Amino acid sequence: MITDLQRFLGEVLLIFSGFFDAPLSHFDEFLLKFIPFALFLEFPLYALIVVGVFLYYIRSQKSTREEREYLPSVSCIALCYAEGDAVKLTIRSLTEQLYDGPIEILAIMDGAIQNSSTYLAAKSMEGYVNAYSNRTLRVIPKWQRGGRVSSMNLGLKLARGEIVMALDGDTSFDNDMVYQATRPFHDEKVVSVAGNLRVRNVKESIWTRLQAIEYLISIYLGKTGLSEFNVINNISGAFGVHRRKFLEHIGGWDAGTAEDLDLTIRMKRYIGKYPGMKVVFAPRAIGHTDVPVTLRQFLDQRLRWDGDLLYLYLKKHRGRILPSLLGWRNTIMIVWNGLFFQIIMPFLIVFYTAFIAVVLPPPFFAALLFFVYAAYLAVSLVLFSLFLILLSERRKEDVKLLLILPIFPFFSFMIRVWSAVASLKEIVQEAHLDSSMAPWWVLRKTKF
Amino acid sequence: MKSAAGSKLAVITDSKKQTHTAFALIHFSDLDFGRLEKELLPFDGCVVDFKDGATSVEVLSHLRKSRDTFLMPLYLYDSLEPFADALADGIFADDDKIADHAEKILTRIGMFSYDLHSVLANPLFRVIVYYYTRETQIIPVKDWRSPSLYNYPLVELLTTISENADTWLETQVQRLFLEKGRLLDRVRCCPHCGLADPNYIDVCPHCRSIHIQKESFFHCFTCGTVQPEKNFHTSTGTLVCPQCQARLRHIGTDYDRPLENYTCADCQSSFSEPLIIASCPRCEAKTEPEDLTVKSYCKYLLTEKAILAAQTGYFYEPASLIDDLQNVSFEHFSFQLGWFLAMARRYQGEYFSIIAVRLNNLEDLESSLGSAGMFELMEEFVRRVRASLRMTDFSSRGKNHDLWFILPKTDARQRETVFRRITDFIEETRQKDGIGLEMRRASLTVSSQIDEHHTQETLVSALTDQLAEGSYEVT
Repeated sequence: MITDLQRFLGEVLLIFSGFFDAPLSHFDEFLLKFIPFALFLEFPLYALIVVGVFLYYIRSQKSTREEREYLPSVSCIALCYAEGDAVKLTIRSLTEQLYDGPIEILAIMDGAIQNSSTYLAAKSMEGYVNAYSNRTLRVIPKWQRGGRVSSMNLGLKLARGEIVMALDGDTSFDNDMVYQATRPFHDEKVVSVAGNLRVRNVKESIWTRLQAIEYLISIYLGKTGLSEFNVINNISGAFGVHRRKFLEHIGGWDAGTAEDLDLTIRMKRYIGKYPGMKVVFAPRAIGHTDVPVTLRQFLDQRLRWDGDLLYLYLKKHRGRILPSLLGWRNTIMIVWNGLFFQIIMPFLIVFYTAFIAVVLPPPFFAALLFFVYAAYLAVSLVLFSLFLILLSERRKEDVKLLLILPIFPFFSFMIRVWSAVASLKEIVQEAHLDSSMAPWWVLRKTKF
Repeated sequence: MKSAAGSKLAVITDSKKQTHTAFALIHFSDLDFGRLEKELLPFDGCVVDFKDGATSVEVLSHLRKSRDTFLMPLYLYDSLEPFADALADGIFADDDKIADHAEKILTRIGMFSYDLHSVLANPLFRVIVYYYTRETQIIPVKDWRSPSLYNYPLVELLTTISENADTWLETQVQRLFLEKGRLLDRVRCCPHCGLADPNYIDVCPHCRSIHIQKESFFHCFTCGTVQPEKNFHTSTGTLVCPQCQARLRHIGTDYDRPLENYTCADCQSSFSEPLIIASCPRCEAKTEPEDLTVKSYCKYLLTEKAILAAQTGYFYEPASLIDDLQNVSFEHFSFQLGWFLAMARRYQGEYFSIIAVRLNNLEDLESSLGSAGMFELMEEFVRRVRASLRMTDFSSRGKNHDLWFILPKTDARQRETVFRRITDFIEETRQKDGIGLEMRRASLTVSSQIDEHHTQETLVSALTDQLAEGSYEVT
C-alpha cells in the first residue's frame, strides 16, 4: 500500500519536473490544455492589474493643497436591518471621522418593528452624535420591511449632503474614510467611488482568514489596478459613494436584488453615453465588515451572490451589454471580467478538470494539477507581495496571512466550483426570488 | 345701570367719554383715594378702566387694601398684567357678564348675619371673608418680573402685614384655617436675597473660575497611553500615538475615548466634573445648588373651620392665640434643634435647653369662662410669655397646641427660672374662683455630654412622651 503510494508520488514528481526540462512532447500537451485558460484569459487580467497598481502608486505620491481643502458635505445612509449593537460601532466610527466638513448620518431601519433592538441601539446614539458639531444623526424607522433598495432610495430622498454614501449597518470605518472617499470627487468627472472593504473578523477562523486574502487581492489590489483604466466592474452596496446629483439623475436604485451591481451596470451605460464620466475605486477609503465564519455560512452567502450575478448579466441586462450602449472599453471588461470570468470560467474549470481526470493517466493528471497549483500559488504570492509592498496600510497584520497563502489556491478553486453550482441553481430555480435582501412581495413586483 | 337684582355698579375711569358702558361713570384722575372711596359709597361694585394700565393697578391695589372697599366686586375690561388681573374678580368686555358675576358675590356678602366691621380688624378674617364670598382658592400669581417669581398679591393686600405672605399662609395652615391645594411649582431661590431661579454656571471646583475647557482624552490600545486628544493629531490630519508612534485608524479597535476631562485656564487644575453653582444676578452671591432655598407654591383653600368662622364671625379656637408668639414652623423648629444639637456636640461648653408645655384644659376653660373670657385669659398669658422671651429664643407650636421653646445658652438652673416665670403667669392670670390654665411640662438641658444616639427626632419624641404621661422632668 505504502509502496504503491510512494511509486505514484515518484511518478507524479517525475512528470512534474518534466514540465520544465523534459522533451517537448510532454510540454506540448500541457500547453494545449492549460495555457488557453491561464495565459490568454486569466493572466492578462492580472498583468493589467499589476500595471494599474504601479500607475496608482506613482500617482498617489502627490496630492495638491487644493485637493486637501476640498470638504463637501456628506450624507451617510446606513442601511440597518438586524445588526443589533453592531450598528452602534458603525455610527460611532462615522461620528469619529477626522473630517472637518459636515457629516449627516441617516440610519434607515428596515422593518423597525421586528428589529426593535437594532432600532433602539441606533436611537441611543442620537445624543452622543449630536453633541459633536458638524455631525448629525437621524434614525428613520421604516416600520414595514421594504428591502434594501427602498431603504437606499428613501435615504437618497432625505439626504442633504453633496456626496451620498450607501453603507451597511454592520460595517465600520477607518477614521479617514470620509476624507479619502471624497478625494476623487474633487475631479468633477468622477460620479461614483467604490470604497474598499476589509474583513473585520479575520482572526475568527481559517475561513475568515482565507476570505481576508481574497478581499485583499480581488478588492484592494484588483480594484486599485482596474480603477486606473476606468473599468471598475462593481460598486459594492455595502460601501458605495456617489455624487448626489448624479444619483438623482439616473433615478436612484432599481428594485430587485444585487442592486449594487445593477447600479454599476446602469452607471456604465450612462458613462457609455457621456464618456467623460468616471467611476473610480478609493483604496484608502476603508470599511471593515464581518464575513461568514463557518464554511457552511460562507457557501450560503456565495450561492446567493453568484446567483444574483448571473441573473443580472444574463436576464436583466441581456441585450444591453453592447459597445454602442456601454462603450468599447466597458463592454470588453464586462464580457471579459464579469461575464466570462465570473460566470463562464467556473464552468470551464469544472469541465476541464473533469475532462483531464478522465483522459489523462492518474499520475499525469496529478502532476498537472500540482503544476496548476504551483502556478496559481506563484501568482498569488506575487500579487499578495505586491499588495503588501505597494498598498497595505496595515502591513504588520496583513503579513501574517502569508502563512496560509499556500492553501489559498485550493480555496480559490473551491470558490470557482461553487460559483458554477450557484449559476446552475439560478438557471434552474430562479433563486434570486428567494433572496433575503428583500421580502418576496417586493421582488415579485419587479419586472424580471 | 341697575342689574336685575338691584345692585349698582360704576366704572372708574380717567376718560371723559365712555360710550360703550351702561354703568355710572366715576371720573378719577387726581389719585385722591379719600374722595374716590366717598364717591363709591352708593355703589356695590365697579369696573376699573384707565388708559394707563399702571393707574388701574394702583386703583385696584388701593381698593383691595382699604377695609371699606376690599370686599367690593372689582372688574377689568381688558387683561393688564398677571398681578392686576389677580386683584380683579374677573375680566369681561361685556357689562351683562360683569353684572351677573357681581350679583353672585353680592348675594353672598348679603348673607352675613353679624356685623362684618366688628371682625375686619383681624387680617385673617379679611382673607377668610374675602375668599368665602368668592368661593375661590388662593392662587399664587406667576410674574417673571417679580424677584420671587410667585406672589400671593391678594393675600398681601388683604392682610396688609409686612411679613412674607408665604410664611403667613403657612401659619394659617398650621392653625387649620387653610389647607394646601394643588402644588403648582417649586422654585429655587438665592438664600441671600431671595431671587428666584438664579443662573447656573459650571466652574472650576478648585478656584471657581468660569474659564474651564472640556478636553477629550484618547487611549492608545497599542501602548496603553492616555493623553489629551490634541497630542494625537498630526499636521497631515491623521492620528498618531505620541508615545509609540502607532497610526490610529479605527475607533474601538486602535483607540478609544476613555474620558472627557476639564482643565481650568486660570489655575491649571484638571477635573472630571465641573462644579455647578448658582450665581445670583441680583446680589451676585454664589451658592451651591443644594444650599438654595426651595420654595413650593400651591393653591390654598379655606378649611371647614375657616368657613365656620366666616359664617359666624367667630374663631372657634382660643389656642390660636398662641400663634401670636413669634412662632416658627415646627419643621423649622426641629431643624434648629438639630443645629443646636450639632453645635453642643462639637463645641465644649455649648449648651441649651428645651421646654415643652401643654395647655390641657382649654376646652374646660371655655365652657366655664365663656369664649370672651377665655380669649382674654389666653391673650394675657401669651403677652406675658412673649415679653419674657429673648430675641434668640425659638418658640413653635407642635401638635395638640403644645408650646415648644429652645433656649440657647441656658443651663438647667436658668431653665427652671424661665419655667417658674411661666408658672407665675398662669397663677397671675388665675381667676378669683380658682379657674385658670392648667399645664403639663417636659424639659431638658443639652450639653456636649449628651448620648450620641440622640437626634432632634428622638429628643422631640422623648419630650412628647413625657408630656403625655404628665411627668415633669426629663434630663
